[in-house]
Amino acid sequence: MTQISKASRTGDTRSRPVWDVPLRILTAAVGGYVLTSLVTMLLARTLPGNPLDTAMAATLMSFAIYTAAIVWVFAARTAMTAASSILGLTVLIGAAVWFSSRPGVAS
Amino acid sequence: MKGFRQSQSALHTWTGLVVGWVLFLIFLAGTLSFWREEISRWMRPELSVTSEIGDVADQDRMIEGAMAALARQAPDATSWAITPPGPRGAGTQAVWTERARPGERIPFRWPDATNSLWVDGDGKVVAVRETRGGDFFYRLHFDLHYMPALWARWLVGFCSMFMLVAIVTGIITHKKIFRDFFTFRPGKGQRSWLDGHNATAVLALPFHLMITYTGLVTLMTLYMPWGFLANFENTAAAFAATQPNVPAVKYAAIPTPLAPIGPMLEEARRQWGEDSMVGSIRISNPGDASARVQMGRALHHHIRDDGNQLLFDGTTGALLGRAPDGGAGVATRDAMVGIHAGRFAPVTIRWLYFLSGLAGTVMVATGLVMWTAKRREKLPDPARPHFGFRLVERLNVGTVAGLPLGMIALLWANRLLPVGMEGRWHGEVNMMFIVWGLALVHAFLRPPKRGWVEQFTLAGALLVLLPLFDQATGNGIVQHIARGDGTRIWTDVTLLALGLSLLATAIKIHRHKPRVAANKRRSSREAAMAATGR
Amino acid sequence: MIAWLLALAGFACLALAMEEHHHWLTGRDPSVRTRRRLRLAGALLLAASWLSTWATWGPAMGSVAWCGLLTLAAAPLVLARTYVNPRRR
Repeated sequence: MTQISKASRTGDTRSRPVWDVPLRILTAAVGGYVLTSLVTMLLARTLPGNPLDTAMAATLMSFAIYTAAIVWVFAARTAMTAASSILGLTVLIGAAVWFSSRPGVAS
Repeated sequence: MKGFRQSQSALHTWTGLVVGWVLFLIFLAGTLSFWREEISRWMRPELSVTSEIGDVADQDRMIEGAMAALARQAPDATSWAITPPGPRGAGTQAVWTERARPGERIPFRWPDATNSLWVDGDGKVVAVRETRGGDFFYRLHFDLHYMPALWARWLVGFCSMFMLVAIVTGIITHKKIFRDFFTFRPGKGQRSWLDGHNATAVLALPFHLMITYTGLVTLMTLYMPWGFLANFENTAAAFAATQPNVPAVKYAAIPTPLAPIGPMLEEARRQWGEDSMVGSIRISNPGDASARVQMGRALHHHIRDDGNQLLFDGTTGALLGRAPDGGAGVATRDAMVGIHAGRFAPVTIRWLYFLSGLAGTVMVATGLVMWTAKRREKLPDPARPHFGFRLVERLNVGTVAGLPLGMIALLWANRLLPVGMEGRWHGEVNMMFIVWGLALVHAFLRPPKRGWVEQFTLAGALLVLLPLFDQATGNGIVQHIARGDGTRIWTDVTLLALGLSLLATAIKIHRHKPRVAANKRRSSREAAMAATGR
Repeated sequence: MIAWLLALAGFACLALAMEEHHHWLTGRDPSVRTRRRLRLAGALLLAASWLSTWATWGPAMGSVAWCGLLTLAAAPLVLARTYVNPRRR
């Protein structure tokens, strides 16, 4: 909004590399979605309750998680910080989902 | 922290611009959908106050009438669907699906003159013009049109997610938003747009946040299936867990008469509570040994949007099963969907929904206009803006003024197209998109200010003329008053009021004098910056 | 209706608790104590309006209605603050 003009005038956007914004958009949209999906899966399996209820509850929360991830990616100091932390979290939670099991199938 | 807000501000501006026009359509169509049944009634003038539902007996009479009519019209259909009116609608709709020959696949069709009929308050079949009524706006809200519903829903979900991000970042950006809460400065150019954007955004902020989030929730199994896939084989298995747990049956090809519907309706009321109304009835394989009757409760009884489905054996009338009571997760989801759609809302709360929705529509519109208002002052040569600027400017005119114009054209088509016309509802809908398309062309041909004024004037005039046209053709507000048809009276009054406010907007824009003095512009910009504390 | 009036009064108190708006109405700057009292009164009035929606619609629907009513109550204040100048005469 008004600050954009200010930002471009003070020139602090120009010090960023060209790929800063594209990388952030990619990280937020794709990385954020994958991370959110995995968190949702993990919550669906770990929350207390019957499988349908926990899946519902986890999915209801997912949009808030996604939003938080996007906001955070654009707030991070550099695009690389954002991308690498999202990737790290994704791997971590992905592993947790991998080792958890579907309720009622194998336990 | 300053950098944080700055980054959020850029995110807000650009996410807003990218999806602004689609969001405008979603908001406008969704807002109109709060009056879905009222619009349907307006578009089906053949049904009047006598086809409304007063009590359970009215409903039973209409359902039995619909069953009898379906048995005459489509005795060997694959399925029948009966939709009695809610407390605000009129007339019962009965739809059938033809039985496909082996190897044949019958494509889905919306109810039209060839696969549906209407039953009035006496349970008699009544000829009604073919129209989608308010259902069109409801579907437009998330299915758009002329494209596969699945793509449309992904597009709408994508835009809604942007909207959610735009709202959250908007709050972060304007830390002083609550300080400026009671302030609106008209006639100050860009500052007024910003205030208008803020006022409509903040005043109805709980609504915007709620409607966007719950909107995503309504289609969450599409957007975010992973939670369900973590616990179930597929999403269909998850859905089945919310339905009556009764194994499906195959078509038996053994003719067997249907059991009377009356006792089943009584049983349904016993299950749901004596004053409950039926919202939907679906009968599969009527007249066959495998007939099944599924009933859903009307959704206006409480906030939670659950049909509480019951399943009956169609040949004996015996209750086979009912939907399981969900736990906290299911209940929360039903409540969120219920609050989004507002099907529970009595008329006072419905007006609040409608006004909040309008505020949201205006918020999106002012946000879009602001994008150009802000950049105009910084253009190297304001008389000859660059292509991107002009594109945004013209698309704003053609959408913010052009879409309402198209919708009003649809209402006119509903009155003017011949009643017996083949594919009539397609004609109505095509009219909307043709006029909208023309409005876009017009926006690119005329100077922006003239475009705004002309399109708003035309839209306002056409809307004001609608109730007058009804009066001239002998089914207007005088007749509604004589019949005591409150819904139609208020609909006409609302159409007039909306038309007049569109005209007032046109006059306002016409009178608006853009500021030219450079020093004045500077000072107001500085004031704006000072006021927002940047 | 009662709920709406209560919300209107509540918002008016909250607005008057802010220096800028208080000055606009009375021409004086409020003391810290006045401001604190106004804020408390505003919050209490809003709470009362919330409870009165329960009486009409029940807790669940009442809460939904209350959120909408808040918007409808704040709107006239915004317009009044914009177009009315109480100290012009």
